[in-house]
Amino acid sequence: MNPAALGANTQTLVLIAFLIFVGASLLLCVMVGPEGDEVADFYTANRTLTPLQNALALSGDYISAATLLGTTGIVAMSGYDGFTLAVSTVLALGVLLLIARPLRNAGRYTLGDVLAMRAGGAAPRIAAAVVTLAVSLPFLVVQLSGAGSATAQVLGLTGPGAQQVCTALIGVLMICYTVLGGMRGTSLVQIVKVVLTFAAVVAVALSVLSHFHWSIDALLSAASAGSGQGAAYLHPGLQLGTTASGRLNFIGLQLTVVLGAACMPHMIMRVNASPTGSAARRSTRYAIGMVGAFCLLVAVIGLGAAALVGDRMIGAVNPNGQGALLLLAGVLQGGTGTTAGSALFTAVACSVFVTVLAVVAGITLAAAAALAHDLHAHAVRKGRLSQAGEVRAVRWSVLAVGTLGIVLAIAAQGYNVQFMSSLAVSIAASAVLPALLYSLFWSRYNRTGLLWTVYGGLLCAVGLQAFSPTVSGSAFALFPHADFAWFPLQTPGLVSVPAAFALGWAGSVRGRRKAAAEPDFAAVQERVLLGAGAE
Amino acid sequence: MPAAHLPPDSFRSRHRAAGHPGAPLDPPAAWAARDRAAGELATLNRATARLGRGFAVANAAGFAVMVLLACTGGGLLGTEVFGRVTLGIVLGVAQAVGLLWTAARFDRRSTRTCDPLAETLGEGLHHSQYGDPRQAPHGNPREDRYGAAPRYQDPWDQRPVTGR
Repeated sequence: MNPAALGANTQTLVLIAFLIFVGASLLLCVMVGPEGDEVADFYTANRTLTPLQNALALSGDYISAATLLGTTGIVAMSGYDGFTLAVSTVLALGVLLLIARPLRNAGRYTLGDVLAMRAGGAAPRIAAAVVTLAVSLPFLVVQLSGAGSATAQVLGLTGPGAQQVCTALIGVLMICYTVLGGMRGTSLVQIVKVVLTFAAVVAVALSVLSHFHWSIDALLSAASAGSGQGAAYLHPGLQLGTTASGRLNFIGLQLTVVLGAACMPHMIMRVNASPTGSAARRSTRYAIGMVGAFCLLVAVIGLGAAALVGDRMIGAVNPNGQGALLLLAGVLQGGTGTTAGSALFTAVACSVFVTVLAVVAGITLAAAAALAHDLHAHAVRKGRLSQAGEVRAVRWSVLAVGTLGIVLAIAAQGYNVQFMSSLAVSIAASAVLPALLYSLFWSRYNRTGLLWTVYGGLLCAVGLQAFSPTVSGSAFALFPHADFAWFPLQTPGLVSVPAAFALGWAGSVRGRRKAAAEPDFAAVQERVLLGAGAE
Repeated sequence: MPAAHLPPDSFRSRHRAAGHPGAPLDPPAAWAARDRAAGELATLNRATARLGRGFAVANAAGFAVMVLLACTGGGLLGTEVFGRVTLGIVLGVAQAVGLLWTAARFDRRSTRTCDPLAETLGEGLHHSQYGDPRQAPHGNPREDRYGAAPRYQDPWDQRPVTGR
């Protein structure tokens, strides 16, 4: 079933559901949004969320369209490799669990607040803002671009113009949520999103299992047959091949996801919204349970899509398999011609819509906070900015980041920009995680090491990705007709992550030789372990 | 002055070194208190690192085994163990369940062992800086944060809310 061929009734139902959700969530954002002009209120909702509420919001920030649509599609098309990716997605939260308490103790609002703990001056703040934008913008573009296409398809609108209009509308909504709601509003939208999305995936997974009479064997057999791969479907190597290069690609992808997926700036900001370090750790633990259950359901749905829709149809709609969830929802419960089928499809379409909307709002808030807090308030104004001035600045930054994201997403229509998700995760794994680990735990880390880690990791990740097969030299590349790909791996993490750690060490050694003044690690340790010195 | 009375270099926090309002302590007593606090901080650091290491090693080992088996194990992960359910699926689910279990264990143990120690140390730090606890800011946590600037020496939180 092609979503473009949905019945008029279903499309009307989906449109009404979209409008109800948009209206209700905007109203909620206005009602719960920040009342005054305090930066803590705008960035962290004054840290009033309970661990469970923050865990729901953390799960909401983490479950992006890449997880909901991308992982489902990879499971559907590549079987075991997609299942491994889902497990790695959960494992990534384990990395966040390890650093959640020290991160919250050390941090205030943004990544820049943590990095500035180890070195004074504007440079660490600027580095933090640069890397935050470098992670956030590609992620924003790929989510907005995908959301525009999916929404246009679901609403039965065809052509690039319709996709661009949908992208722009979603982008405008994202800006409204963030400007009006701040962290309070986006948290509420995240919580609503998690509940809705969870309900939708549970309904789809149960429908799949009931279709196969609750027999996992029958589901696996049908999925293997539907994929057209037979027994190979449940063996490793279908997605990236079984050659040496394919194996390295597999290791690199899994490693990058585990190290980077949970260390993105919007996740760091979410951890900083916890009232205490212990609450941050508890929230992350709860989030592991929620995301774990979610990924298990996603795996079942992916298998169901392979079994009931088939590899050929999924690949025809989108070569990356991103249409698998919507295609599956369209054939369950008797299809969209029946009331139950139509209701299920509407629920899934709404969950996709709300997933994208909530995630892009969180990403925009993190990017805008980096601009307003790290760059404007600290690096440029040296802290001489009132709280009201900073809140005004962050609202203008939301507008700037949102507009840039919309323009780039519209410009990206027609190109294969899926690699930008893995690029964002690679930058987070290569530049953010090493800088965080060194800043929080290594006594000899200093300003030079910090700058080398952040800029070195960033340049390595971006440079290697630019010369990878995802940008040129292959049929699925951004520029399929050009070929300047000399780096064989699709994900640069296998090289860029160790390089960033090595650069951090080398920079710290060199920085120690150049300047005798060592950072006072006792004070840093006091702050990381006890929260002394942070808000 | 005997060298034994010197404050330890390893615990020369700038927050404390700068001095704060509050009841002044007798210098040797203050150094002894700092020694004790430094020891307790080191204990907390070790306990936190031990728990974190256990959690990280268990999950990293599982991840490494799975990735290596997928790359070098031939068809091992594709071996069917229960009907069509393969060894790879069983091990993947076991890995996720293991993560959940170790995460719960890590959190519970941290709550039991590290958090009380951190709380005690944090309170001690607070009192040592304000001397008389009655002088310390308390009450509304938000006011406490904004009123805690002398302790944290950061003028950032004292910014006016309005104006430019």
